[in-house]
Amino acid sequence: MDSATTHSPETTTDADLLQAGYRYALALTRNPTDAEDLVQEGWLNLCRRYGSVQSRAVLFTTVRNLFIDQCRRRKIVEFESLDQEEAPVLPSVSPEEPGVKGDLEALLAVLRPQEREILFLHYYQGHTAEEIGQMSGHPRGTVLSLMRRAIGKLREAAAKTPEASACNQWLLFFVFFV
Amino acid sequence: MSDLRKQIREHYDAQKLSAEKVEEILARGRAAAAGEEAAEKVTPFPQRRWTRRAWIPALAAAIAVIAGIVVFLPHREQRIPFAMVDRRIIDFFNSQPKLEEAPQDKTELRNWLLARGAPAEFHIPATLMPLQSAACEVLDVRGRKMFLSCYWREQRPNRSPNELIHLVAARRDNFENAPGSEVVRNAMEGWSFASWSEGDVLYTLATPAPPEKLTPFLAMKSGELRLVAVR
Repeated sequence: MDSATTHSPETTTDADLLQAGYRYALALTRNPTDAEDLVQEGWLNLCRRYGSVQSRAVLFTTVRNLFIDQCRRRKIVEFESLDQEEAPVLPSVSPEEPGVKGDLEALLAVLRPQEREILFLHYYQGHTAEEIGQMSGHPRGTVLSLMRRAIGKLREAAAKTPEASACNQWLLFFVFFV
Repeated sequence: MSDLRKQIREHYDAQKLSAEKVEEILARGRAAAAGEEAAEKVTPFPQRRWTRRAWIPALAAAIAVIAGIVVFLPHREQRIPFAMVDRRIIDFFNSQPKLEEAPQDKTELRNWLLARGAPAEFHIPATLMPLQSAACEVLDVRGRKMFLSCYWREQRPNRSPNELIHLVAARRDNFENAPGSEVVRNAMEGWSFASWSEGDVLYTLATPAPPEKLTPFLAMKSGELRLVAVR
């Protein structure tokens, strides 16, 4: 996992930085409008305070803090124990994780914001579990557990969809036993 | 690249802000950085201007003025001209009033008048004490009271009302230009009057006869009025 290839989109311009922030906000909220408001507020806050947005990490942290504040205000924070039995636990996260069948947008809906965030940071931004742990303040092990659980949820949801194919069944088999 | 990674990348790559929105946010960010951000519309908390409280002292002043008028003017009106006393006595008797029969006991007569509001210092002059009481009444002069007692000057039967002598007592403060302790005489329309004050009480002796009929009851000596109080 930690040795996963880090495919990180280049954010050389402010526009690219803003788009990256928007996608991160979208990973947290799943709602385009909320994500737009979140990244705009974060961007403006940083500009007011520092005159510019220095880095993607700073923008992500700001967006994340704003999202947490919003959740607290709306009291929509979800708690789920890492020891939850229903959640499928993968023995490890393969760097070459097979894909899932079905609409990924719909499948992501079954995940908690924290799980979507970790998938986004790892698979889209290319961060390692260590880096994600540093960003979110969680231990590396917790990050890995969350990631395994998120992938398991995705596959479980994909298996329940009507269009789930035999390929998904095979992938589940692959995940659990390989 | 794993299939899941590719799927997630393709998914998020498809999500992006519109170019207009990006430009808008960047422009606002630049403005915020330069401190030129449009100030939020903030409705200022309404300040209490002095004009908003000005009505209070104005109202207080108006109340004070009105209270002054209400309290002061009646006092001004209460002080009626002293000349009205004589006029009122003449008019009263010209109206041929029915009077209360007065008790012969002068102390009882005084108490009767005191009970109707006569000044506490009021007393019947000593020169009137031997006379026979005829009647008593309370008169009204512009809302102020005068206390009337009538006596027969002559001690004989078949007397006419012209043989009466009247004593009118009132509060001196109720009259403007009221006389002091010196006797002030007056005569009009066949009536004779003699007025003076003792303390806060104004006395007037009146009779429908020439002034000399009044003189024996004034008991004057060297211009000084001498009266003996009956308590």
